[in-house]
Amino acid sequence: MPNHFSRDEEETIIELMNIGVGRAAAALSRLAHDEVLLSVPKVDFVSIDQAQAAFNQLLPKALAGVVQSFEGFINGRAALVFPEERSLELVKAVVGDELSASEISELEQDTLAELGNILLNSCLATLGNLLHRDIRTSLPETYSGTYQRMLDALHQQPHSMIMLVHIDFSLSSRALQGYLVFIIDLQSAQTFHEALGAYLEQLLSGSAEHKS
Amino acid sequence: MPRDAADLFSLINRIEVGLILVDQHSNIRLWNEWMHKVTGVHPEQAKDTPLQALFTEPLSESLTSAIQMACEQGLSRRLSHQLHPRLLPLNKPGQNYPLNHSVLISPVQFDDQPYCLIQIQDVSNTVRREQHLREAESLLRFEKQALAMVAQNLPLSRVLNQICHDFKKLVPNSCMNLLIPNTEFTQLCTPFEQTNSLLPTQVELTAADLPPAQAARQRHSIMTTAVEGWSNLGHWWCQPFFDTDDQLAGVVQLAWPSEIKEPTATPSLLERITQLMALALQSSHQIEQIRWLAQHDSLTGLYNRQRLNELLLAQCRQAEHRQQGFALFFIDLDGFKAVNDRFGHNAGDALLIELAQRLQAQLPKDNVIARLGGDELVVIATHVTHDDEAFAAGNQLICSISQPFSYHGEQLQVGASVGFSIYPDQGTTPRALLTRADNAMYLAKTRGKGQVASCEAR
Repeated sequence: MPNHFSRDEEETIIELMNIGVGRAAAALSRLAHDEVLLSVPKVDFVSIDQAQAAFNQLLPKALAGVVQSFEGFINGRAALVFPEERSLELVKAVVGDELSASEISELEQDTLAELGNILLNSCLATLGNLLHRDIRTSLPETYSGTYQRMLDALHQQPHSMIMLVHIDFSLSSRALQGYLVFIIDLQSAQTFHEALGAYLEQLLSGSAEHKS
Repeated sequence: MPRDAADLFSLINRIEVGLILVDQHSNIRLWNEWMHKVTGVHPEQAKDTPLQALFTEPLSESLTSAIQMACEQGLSRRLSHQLHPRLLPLNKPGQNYPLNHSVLISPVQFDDQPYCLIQIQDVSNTVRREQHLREAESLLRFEKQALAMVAQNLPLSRVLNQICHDFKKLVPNSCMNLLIPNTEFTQLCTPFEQTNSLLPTQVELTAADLPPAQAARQRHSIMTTAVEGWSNLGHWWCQPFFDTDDQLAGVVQLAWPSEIKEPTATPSLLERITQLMALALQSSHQIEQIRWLAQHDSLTGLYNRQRLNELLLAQCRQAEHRQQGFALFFIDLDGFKAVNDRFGHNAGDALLIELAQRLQAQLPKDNVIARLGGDELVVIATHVTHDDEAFAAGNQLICSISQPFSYHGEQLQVGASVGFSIYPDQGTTPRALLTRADNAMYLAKTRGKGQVASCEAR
């Protein structure tokens, strides 16, 4: 699948994701009463097939995570994905260690949904705020299953592209890797281009003004 | 199908979830019947009032910022119970305890105006269920660890200490102690060397008003609140436990300081911990018994051949290290068969027990006395290093053994032939020393019994 973004646009998206992830880390640290560090995200734009291949290579078959929809200048669905057996780690790190060791309970699912919600909202809101466009998010839901099932659940529009954001979580006592997956409806890709174009233009004219 | 707004409102008021609609200034536009039920605030009273004005406590920042983000940026937000246990100061209707809830925040728009829909879900049942599950899980984990320690045959004090330590984590704010009876069964004492417990560590079994003694005497658990002289304890529970012969094996005490209003454990938990303690004690006693039987002659309680060999080897090594001699006596009873034949084996057994007790009483504590079987005894005398001393000591042994013993009105009497060998002159290995002392004993027998002989025949 051809890449829909120029190099400048891609770098802008990475920068915006970086800001979003940074804000999420601050919010998560406040909740955890402990420092939650999130790595600089690595962003890839891939097709569904490529996403499947990437997940097949990088993640175990059983995944767990949080999904929420977004709509506005871009439409689609976003997910925070962990290997299923480690999805509880983030919850444990934030809530404390006295929780059940084996399976994720109902209350823990709710907590995981909130943590995913904070991360995904933060990334999407940063995109909206800095690009000066509206974006609304829906309530998050937790899910678990294979990556095929997850991609099927996320991939509702026939024409979509996938923005795969790889981040490392570093918590005081454990390290955890997860993915943010944004499936963006291609029909809204045009408005994404326009928003990025306007932002870059503004940046350039801003720096030109600054120079002059 | 609902026909109009009134129908819709009646539906909304039947929903078992709290629904609040606020505008961008946090003024309430909808407050459903569930909210009325939980807060006592009527929908009419709530209408157009700022959300904050309905609560005396300030609203949580997480909630206000989530409402603001929903109205201003269109972001939905889930606020979970675990991360925000008291998001709104809500109480269970008709009850005086907090209502556990989680909150969902969604942005909505009417006439191009942003609003925020707040849904409040009662998660009390889930919280309670998960609390029970978690308690059961921690109890299982605790039991598994305790049983693993018992199965590994770790030292009893370590097992009991660990059980107490882990149990305290299961029962917040409690103090716990174990009391076991002394050998005379007059007192209950804690087996732990160090204890910071508020509880007594030594109790007379006859003590009239002390719960552990009462529980031990009455053979059932005692749960009490006020005990004279122990005002620092609010609740004091005691559970006795018994060994396989139904003898009192101990009492587990669990107590809470007076400032704790309610016990933080159930009686069944105390029973479980007591069973574990009993199991640990029983297992430890059985292992001690097996170990004892492996090293001792079960009739006389003297060391057996196996243990003698080990101790003799250790003594040889120590003597080599210290450059110090010792003597090994081989004793064979004279006339023992006649006692058995005339008075029966029970009489013979009683005599052997008596002789073992006499030797134990007569010889220094660090001497080793063993029965090799039948009427053969061996003594390692660490203080005897020369032949002269050995002859004297051997004669004392014969003298002690030859004293008559009264058994059911009969006078039983035996003599002894004693041979000895001395380390290192007559051997430096257990085998050499035993062979030589044995040979010497035969020499004593051939010379006419009732005497002492050295392997260096003279």
